[in-house]
Amino acid sequence: MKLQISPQALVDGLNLASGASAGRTPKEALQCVLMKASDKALLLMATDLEVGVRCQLAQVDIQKGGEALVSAAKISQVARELTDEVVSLELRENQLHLRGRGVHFQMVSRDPKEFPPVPDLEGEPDFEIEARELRRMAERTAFAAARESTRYAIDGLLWERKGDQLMIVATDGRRLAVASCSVTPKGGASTQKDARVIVPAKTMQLISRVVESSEERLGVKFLPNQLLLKTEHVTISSVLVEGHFPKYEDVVPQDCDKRATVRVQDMHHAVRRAALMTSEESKGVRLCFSAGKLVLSSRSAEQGEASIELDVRYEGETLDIGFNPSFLSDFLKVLEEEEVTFELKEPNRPMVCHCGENYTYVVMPVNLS
Amino acid sequence: MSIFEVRHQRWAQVILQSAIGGDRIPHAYLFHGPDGIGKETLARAYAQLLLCEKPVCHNECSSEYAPDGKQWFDSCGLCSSCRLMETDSHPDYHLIHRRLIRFHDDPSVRARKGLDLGIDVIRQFVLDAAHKKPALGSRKVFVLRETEKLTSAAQNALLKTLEEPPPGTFLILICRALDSLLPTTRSRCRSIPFSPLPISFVHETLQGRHSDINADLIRFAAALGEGSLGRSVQCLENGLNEINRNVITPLKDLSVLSALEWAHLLEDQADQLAHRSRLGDEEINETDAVRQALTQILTLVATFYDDVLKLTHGQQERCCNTADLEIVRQAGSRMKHDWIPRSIGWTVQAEAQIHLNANTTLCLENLAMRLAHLYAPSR
Repeated sequence: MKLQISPQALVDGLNLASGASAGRTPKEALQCVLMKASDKALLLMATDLEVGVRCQLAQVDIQKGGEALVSAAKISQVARELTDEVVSLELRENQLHLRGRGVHFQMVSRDPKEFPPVPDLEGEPDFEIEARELRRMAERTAFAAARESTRYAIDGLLWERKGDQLMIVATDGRRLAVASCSVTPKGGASTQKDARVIVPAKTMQLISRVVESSEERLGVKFLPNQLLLKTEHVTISSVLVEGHFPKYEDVVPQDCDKRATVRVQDMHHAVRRAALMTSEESKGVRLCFSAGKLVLSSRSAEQGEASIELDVRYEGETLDIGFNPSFLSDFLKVLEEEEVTFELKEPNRPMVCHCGENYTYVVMPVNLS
Repeated sequence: MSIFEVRHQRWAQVILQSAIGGDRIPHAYLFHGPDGIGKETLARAYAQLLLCEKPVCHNECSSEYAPDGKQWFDSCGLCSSCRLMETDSHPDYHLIHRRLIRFHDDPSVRARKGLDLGIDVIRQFVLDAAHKKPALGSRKVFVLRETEKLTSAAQNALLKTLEEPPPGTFLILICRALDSLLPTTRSRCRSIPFSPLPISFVHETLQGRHSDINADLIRFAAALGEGSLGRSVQCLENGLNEINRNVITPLKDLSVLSALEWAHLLEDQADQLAHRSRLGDEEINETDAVRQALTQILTLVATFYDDVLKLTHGQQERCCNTADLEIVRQAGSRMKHDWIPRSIGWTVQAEAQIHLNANTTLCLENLAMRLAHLYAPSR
């Protein structure tokens, strides 16, 4: 392998790829990044066996193809310290030589055979989705996923595709977030229109990171064991979670008869203030809805009491209901909209929050008596 | 590796082969038997076979595993899955051992010593991983090493997965003795006993691997291993032959006066041996290391008296201590023949007492005094 590349391009590529490389693992090859130079481009690959990233760098001058497997952390550190416009990389006898003006680094390359395969999206994707949209959905659902639950399926997020709609769903048994958006079907979906897969929470974090700056469209493919996402230069692959995701449609109540509309900013502020007077024992914040008015109150024996009043569009009977404030603020925090609508029925029934057409959040009340 | 490279475990192979050839492959196996006789090697080869994309079917294979009309399956060794197994980078093969605690996500868990196979390792590396779909094919295999070190909490956490693992998941538990596991764990696994290897096979293998070591030493190591290749190799590596000479030389004529001195020598030698084994494995705690070393040393003593017994019955060719036959002969001439078997019994008893937490020094002194009384008083 012999090539010339700008250090900045190398750093950008390594940043994307090393997001997938394993931090701590007994298999040292997984802490490495595989650099594969072919005729046209340099391919960087990293995986921790759960998620994998393939990142293609096009602006490279390749003189000789080949493969090198080097420590991801070390080569990133080295590349960041280079100030030259162009550096050369050369593999000779299991040593990767990195040369700039007056600089020479020599790094050990492991046997590329030790590196497990990182899947690529072959053929047409099932559908395409806007990167921005996917990132937003990930942000709006990931917080609701269970953590270290023994019900492994709900530790992940459900991706459900129905025709030209994609739903991402997360729940931990006490709250549920459903975000959806429209997608553009592509050839790969001809056999399977509707599909559902459960994606690990870690993959969602990686997706958020990779598509952060991206304004492009992502091709998505569901395989029996894998989820594949592809932008022009980057492919992310992820294993899927085994198990059955609960039927989330049944959890969203359809018979709510009370509606309240409130400004997101005001509500978030009020919840944060009311949460100050809660303690480990009394985590609940009381929400008292009455005509045109919502009063949030909290009380803890050791600390004291709080009461916050705000304007709300509400008609119907007065209703007292308690919630865990962090469940409310997690949700309010991710909203970009001006207003949010709450639908309620009784103090012991869940509250449904709607924000726009594509986002629903259901939260269970807590018993305050 | 080919599954047939595992030698002299016909019984285990037959059980595994009939499962592969049948409709339903048991999802949890328990391989049990002494250390160093091929349990983990076979588990790995079997995992390779389970993960292989195109398993091959033999109607004929080596004479040891003659097919008796049955078909024998083996991994192809050529497919991408087999190649990944060879380079130890298969994403669906998980080897679980107590040292994985070093790689746990939680820093407070990492700070602990991996003396046993605890619930944190089992949760992160077995249960969480088992509930992900396989990365390559449709199966994934977990091999759990040293399951006699599984804590009860870890075993209880495993129960549900052992009973009903996610589709395509196979677990192979490797353990020294069945009774070190909870009955609930045992009952959820298909247990396969492994038997010690023929000593001639161990001898040949050692000769092949260490052509530079002298023949007496190899014979001693092979005999002392009692059919465990692993133990014989360890015996060569730890220089057990030197320790053996130190331990048995005073036994040519043990008197009541020299007995206590000999008991203290045993303790010294055990400390040295424990120190050596702790250098190789820092996760082992000191008590365990000393106990293991004492077990090894008392085995040397028992082997010595066993040789005395053999020699007095004219079975010289079956002795272990071939290089020190003179010492064996001298001891034999000083002891009353009918009493020799007692010495072996008492040595085994002392070993058991030490494992039951008895005071080591007292146990060894007691043993030494009893042994000294078996020798005829010198004039």
